[in-house]
Amino acid sequence: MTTGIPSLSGAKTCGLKVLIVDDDPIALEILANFLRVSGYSVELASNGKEALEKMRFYSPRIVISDVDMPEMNGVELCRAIRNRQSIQYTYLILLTSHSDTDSVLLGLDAGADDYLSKPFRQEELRLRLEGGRRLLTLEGRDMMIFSLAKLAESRDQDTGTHLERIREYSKVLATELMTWPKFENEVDAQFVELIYMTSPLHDVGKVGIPDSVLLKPGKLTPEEFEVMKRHTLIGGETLSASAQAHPEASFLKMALDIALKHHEKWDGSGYPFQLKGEDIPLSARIVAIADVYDALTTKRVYKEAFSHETAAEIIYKSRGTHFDPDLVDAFSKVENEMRRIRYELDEESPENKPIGIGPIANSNANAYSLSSAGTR
Amino acid sequence: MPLTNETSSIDEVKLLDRCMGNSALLGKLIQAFSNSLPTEKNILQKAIDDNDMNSVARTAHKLKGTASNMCALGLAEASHLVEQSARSNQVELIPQQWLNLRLQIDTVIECILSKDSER
Repeated sequence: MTTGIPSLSGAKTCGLKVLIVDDDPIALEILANFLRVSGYSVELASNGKEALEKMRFYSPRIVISDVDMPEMNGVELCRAIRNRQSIQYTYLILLTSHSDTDSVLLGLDAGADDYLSKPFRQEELRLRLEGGRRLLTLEGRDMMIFSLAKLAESRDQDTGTHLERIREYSKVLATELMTWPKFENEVDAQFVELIYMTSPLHDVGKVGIPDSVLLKPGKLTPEEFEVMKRHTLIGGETLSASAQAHPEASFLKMALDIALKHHEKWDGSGYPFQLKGEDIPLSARIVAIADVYDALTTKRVYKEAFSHETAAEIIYKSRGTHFDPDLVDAFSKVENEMRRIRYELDEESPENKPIGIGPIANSNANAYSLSSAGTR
Repeated sequence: MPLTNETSSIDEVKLLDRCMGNSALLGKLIQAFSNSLPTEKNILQKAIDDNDMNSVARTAHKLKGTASNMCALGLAEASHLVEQSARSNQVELIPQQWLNLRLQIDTVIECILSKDSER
């Protein structure tokens, strides 16, 4: 039974699909009516087995299940749902008796997210569903961000696990800054979480760059480089529309800053706006270092990989020109952590296949030009 | 625990609130509840006659849940006592508790029927 009854608070629930599982038809009717009036789309099942069968065709985001049921009980249902292959998370709420603490523990152990005492209180159920909806929204947001980033990356064949490394590097740098008095008002745990989440979007604008430029081996001509530079503006425009539509979403603001400004340079010689110093958002300054470090230590269609030592030397030489001096100092503190991430997230790490060690590395660093060979 | 008439029947005001003001649903639920009670009563009677405490506990538990949802608190409490005694195997307590529970069931059914005739 699926409904389309208008809701009292449907703006938030937006017809979120809920499957209710209970062998008591009266309990089902009361709960279903409450959810429909609250704006949810509702399906009913009388036991766990029937619930699993319905889930093949209905795909609920939330399942509210009684514990004691014939055929398959609520705990078994939780376990079965968690063992399924699924592309999306299902939020599970168990309905239990006040006294049935054993079932609560068994249910949580089997994968339930929450539980509710019977008979349910409307306000309590509303709040618990709101908690579930928030979690599902976060999951959707994270999936959306990484899917978008992967879409951009899919066109750039050489980048491999680039996105995973970028967010790890950015997180390490931001975490280091969290302990610095200068950044105490700007960098906190939430900032670190946001940059981890949004840094993979830095090159989302590359979806708009022609293959002839994006995939060109070797050095770009000045004209081609101008085309490549547009990826910051394309990414910025894409995320700006979302940021304007959802001004409360701080992650979109940070994602926009990063996509648009991660190629700006401390001395004002970057692009697209030639911003200088702290006019460049901190998130973009952090991702700039993460991106360049990754570009340097990774083999690309247009260059070989440098060793960590060579890459680090190049970054140190760019202190106060390309990069924020504070961030280069932060890099020096977490250098070993960066090297570890580089090693762990890529089997082709230059730690395994070095091309520049000792004097050779130094000569590479001296000859290197960030604008032509490092990151595009 | 002695049961009073005040707690015996359905609190329709609360039930209507649980039905989000949907009086048609309220009527439907009361009818379904009324129809289910004789069956539940028979199942419980058989389980007690068979001295099958698992079945007694399970059926009383289910009745308690339905009665709670229906805002029939007296019936819910009487079911709860039978369930507890069955679970703890205190068989000697069950005859008196079962008598009270039967009275509750009958009272609820009578209340529903008398309201039906008034309508």
